[in-house]
Amino acid sequence: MTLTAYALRRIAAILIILAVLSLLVFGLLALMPGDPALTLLGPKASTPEALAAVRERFGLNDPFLTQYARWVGNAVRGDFGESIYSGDAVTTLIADRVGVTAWLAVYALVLTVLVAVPLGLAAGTRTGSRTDRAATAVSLITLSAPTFAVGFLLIYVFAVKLDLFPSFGAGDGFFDTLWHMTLPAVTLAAGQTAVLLRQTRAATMDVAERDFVTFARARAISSGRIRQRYLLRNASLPVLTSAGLLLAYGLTGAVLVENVFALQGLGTLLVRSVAQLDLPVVQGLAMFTALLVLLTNLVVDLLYFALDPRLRRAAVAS
Amino acid sequence: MTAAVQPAAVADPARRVRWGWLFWAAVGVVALSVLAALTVRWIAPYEPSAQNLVDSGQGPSGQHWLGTDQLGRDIFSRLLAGARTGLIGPLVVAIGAGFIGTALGLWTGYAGGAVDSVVMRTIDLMYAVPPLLVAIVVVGLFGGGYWLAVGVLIVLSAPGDVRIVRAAVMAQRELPYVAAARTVGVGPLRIAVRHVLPNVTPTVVANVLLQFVVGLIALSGLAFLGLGVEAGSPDWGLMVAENRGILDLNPWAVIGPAVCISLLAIAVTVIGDRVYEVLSQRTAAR
Amino acid sequence: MNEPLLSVDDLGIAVDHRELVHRVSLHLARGESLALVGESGSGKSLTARALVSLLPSGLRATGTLHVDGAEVDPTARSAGHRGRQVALLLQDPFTMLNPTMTAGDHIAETLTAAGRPRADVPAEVTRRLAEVGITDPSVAGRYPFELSGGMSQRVALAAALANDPGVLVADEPTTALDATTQHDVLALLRRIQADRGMGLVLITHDLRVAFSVCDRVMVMYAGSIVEHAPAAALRDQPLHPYTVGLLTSVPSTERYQQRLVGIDGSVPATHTVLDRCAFADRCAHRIDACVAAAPPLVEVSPGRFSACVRTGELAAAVQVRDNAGVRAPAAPGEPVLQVRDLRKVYRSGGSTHTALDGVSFQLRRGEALGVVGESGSGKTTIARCLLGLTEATEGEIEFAGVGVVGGRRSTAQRRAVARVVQCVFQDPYSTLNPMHTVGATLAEALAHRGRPVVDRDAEVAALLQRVGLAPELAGRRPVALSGGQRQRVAIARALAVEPQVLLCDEPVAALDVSVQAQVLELLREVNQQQGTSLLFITHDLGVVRQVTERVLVLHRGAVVEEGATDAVLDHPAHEYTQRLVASMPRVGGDWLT
Repeated sequence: MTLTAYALRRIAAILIILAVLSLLVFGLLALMPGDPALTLLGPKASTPEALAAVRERFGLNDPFLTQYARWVGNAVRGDFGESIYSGDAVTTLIADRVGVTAWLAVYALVLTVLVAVPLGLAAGTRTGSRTDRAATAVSLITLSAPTFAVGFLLIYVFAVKLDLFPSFGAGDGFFDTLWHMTLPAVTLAAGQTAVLLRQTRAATMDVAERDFVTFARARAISSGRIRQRYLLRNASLPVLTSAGLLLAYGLTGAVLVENVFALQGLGTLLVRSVAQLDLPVVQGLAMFTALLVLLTNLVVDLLYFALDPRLRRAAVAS
Repeated sequence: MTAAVQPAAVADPARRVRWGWLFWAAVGVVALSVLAALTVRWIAPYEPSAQNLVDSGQGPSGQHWLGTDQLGRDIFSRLLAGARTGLIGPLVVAIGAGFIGTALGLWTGYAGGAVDSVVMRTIDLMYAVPPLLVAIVVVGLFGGGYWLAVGVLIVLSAPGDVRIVRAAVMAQRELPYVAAARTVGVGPLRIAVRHVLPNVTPTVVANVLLQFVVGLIALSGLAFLGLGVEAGSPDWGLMVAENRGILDLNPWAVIGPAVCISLLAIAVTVIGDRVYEVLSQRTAAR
Repeated sequence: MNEPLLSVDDLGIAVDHRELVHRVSLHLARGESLALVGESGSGKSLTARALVSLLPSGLRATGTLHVDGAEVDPTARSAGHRGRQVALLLQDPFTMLNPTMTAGDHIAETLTAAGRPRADVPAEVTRRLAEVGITDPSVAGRYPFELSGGMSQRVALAAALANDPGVLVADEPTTALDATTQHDVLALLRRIQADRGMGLVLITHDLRVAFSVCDRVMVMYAGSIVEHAPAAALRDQPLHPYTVGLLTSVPSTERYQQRLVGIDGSVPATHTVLDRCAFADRCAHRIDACVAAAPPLVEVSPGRFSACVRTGELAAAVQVRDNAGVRAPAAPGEPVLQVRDLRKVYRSGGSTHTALDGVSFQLRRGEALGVVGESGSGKTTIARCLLGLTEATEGEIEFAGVGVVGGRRSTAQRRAVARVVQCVFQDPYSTLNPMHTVGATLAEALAHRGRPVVDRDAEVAALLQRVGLAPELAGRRPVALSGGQRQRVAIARALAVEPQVLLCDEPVAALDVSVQAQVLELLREVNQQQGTSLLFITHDLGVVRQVTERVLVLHRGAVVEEGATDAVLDHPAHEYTQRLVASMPRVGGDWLT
């Protein structure tokens, strides 16, 4: 299969998943307890006229599939309607806040990869060593401790006691943002590092036991080259999968981290919209998240082509 | 002349795994939590929800070992009471998801075919959205309480279990002992349950324990966001959220529950890791 | 006298306080070749690893190792001699090369590491590949998954030799290869060793390989050297009872043997036999002196060493007997199994692979039919189709009393076929469910035979006795059994169903040669005395000679030759069969040329 054919097939699969998801997401409105019109009316006074106006505006009198088709039709054009509360377009709300969340997710991922991969590699090549035991112990703790617990612990130590970092807000400009985002990013990275570290360690241990590593050592290949060209390279596939999942799932952690550090990102938007039953915003966020997760997976799958000669050969051959 | 005799740093691979002190410490933590949940009514120094506005927001003292919260409720007593929601929900999530996951994983992994395709495509779909986000949306929009959250988490955790058990079953399925049982004429159900299941038990048990941890973290995360447990109830996650404003007055009101969640989660993870190691040694073919 | 290039004195290898290798000494001069021969558990591979200071972590070593006169530490993490003066070649060609690097990169990186200017490297890679018989320049650009086993092993050899080491240690370098490929790689190894004047330490379980490649042979047993002699001398007159037993155990490819003699019992753990002769418990000539103290390795005649207290007196008693005999004429009955035009095509992605291309044969009652082929010949696919573990693409199979079965089988058909055909699989370590006791495994099989089970425990005990095992084993789990014992249990499980045909898929390929004979003898007995038909799948012509009376030669999914076993092996007609027969290792003569 060629690379393009493969990519096209994956994109088709993504579109199917998005289609099914959109049905579920749109179905939320119908499934919610109470009159959908009341839900969509939100905090405004529920006079019969107001309800009728809402029914008219959202086409609630049409059959379900017609409503769905209209919603999808708008959605593909980037229109998820307006917030019931603020009246702002959902896409605008998301666009305003995506920056903070992206900052947080990327910053955390960079920290995660910088710590977890070298440490996992070191721990995996020398199991039972002091480095290995320390890495295993630390990852055990950060894996199990909930994100918000880590967050408050960091706030207590670094913001309240030592006063080194701010405990809330996103900051302005690159360096200020970096400063403000450090505690949140470390919080988010703590759990992710544990996952990636365990994965890297396991993958490295697996590769380190293979014959080809023994054979490389038997040929007097330098340990630096063995680490890079043999261990890291062959362990990179599971590590990449894991890192991809982390980026996608970083959104989950972001909800909690943004809440702890009072950051105005997508996570706090979601929690607020859910609490206010602001359905259009929730629907828009759900679709946006799914798209993000699916695209991340696609990128990971395509990177496999670059890393795995088997796939690469197959792609060139046909 | 003899070459340097180097002492061996690595343990003898043939020796049986010992449980080790860490495991017993972890068992101790879990046992204490269970004890607290069962006996809180008798051993708590204060009624966990008794308010005492005079003593609100105090630091630790002889009267209140870990101080009080904004409403003057005794933190230590509330921590003891919090063991209940800290244990029951995650346990139900773990067992529920473990049961569904094992049954479906065994079926799809061993039988393959149409059921396998349908289940796996559904799981792919569920993987497209992070589970905690779904839980936030569903529990939040439907105004559900603790048990709805538990139910949602069972459904959302099961796919992971299905995948793991399925992969383990598929690996076993290729081994000659399964082919031999088929050749003898043993039926598929009996092969799946009597032959394959015992050999994937380490995976299943370790996974149920892991799922407990995931359930605990997810439920306390939801509680922290104000979803799931009822406002005011003594739940560790909720306590962190409710007391975050007095972090400077009485840090124990926040750190205490955070540490409780973490300790329980770490303890169960440790138990899961050790149980898996010991069980896989017992099932190892050689 | 020539200073030895590699010299090991009193090497001991231990984990915790359990010794695995005990007081091994060996010396190798420039240009000399030495074979270390032993079965699994003999310590030969650990000894090989110690020579390049690559012992698995956690193992301790005692004794001294000198390379070119300089002392080196066998447990050092980084050792100057490793890969430069002494190179190591491993067993499995499919796992030895880095899957993310091309063949050429493997050789190039070693050349670069040795400090060769980068500009010279490509030409040098080509030259090095040519040395190992690879003249196709495109091979350098291929990844390991694009190479055959033999090709991979050649590339690995070229990579190992890239530093021009004085000594090559080759650990079972051809065990994972097919007979024809093994033949070519061994011939190559011998030629390169001679051309380069290089020292060679060849680790092998196969005395026939050792004799044809090496000048001297050391036989190891339970961590110690029991005999050491020039190859020809050892071949013509082995001194140690273990060596004799080992040579007797090899099923002859050349003639039918009346009785297959193995060595009873199994190899003890080294640390339990340090103060006595390790072989005593399995030796027919044991006397009290054997277990009073460990017999030293003494020089019996110049260049010949043996560690047996009775060496002198036993010379006449211990001799390799070939037990040549005449096959009892068979009187096969009606067909119990007929295979017609079996085709199996595997499809994956866009490519197809034809595993079976129209195979037909029939098996008669009481007959022993061999199916011989190398990997990829489709021989295991035949087994899987017969057993219903995979569906044939085309063709049909007729089982006596069941009728024609094609396509997917119903549960009733499965049950019916189970009473006609039972199977013994290759891998003794995973053929039994590790969680079930031997008794439970056999009882389950008994429950699926046609007749009701009256006294379960008694029948299980009877089955165990029938395959030569003690009834007490019923309570054990597979972990507690040796490979040979597990394979016997597997045979008992198959016999429990009382099938008409016993299908054996390489039943002894994973067993040590001293254990093989007993299992083969048991299968012969099942066939000749009890009249169960055998369908015997194997790559080993010696095994097929001993067990079967008729044989099919399978090559690339098709039967290329068929006939009486003796006739086919003595006078192969098809070109492929001729090549196969010629490449079979033999004790006598030079089969490598």
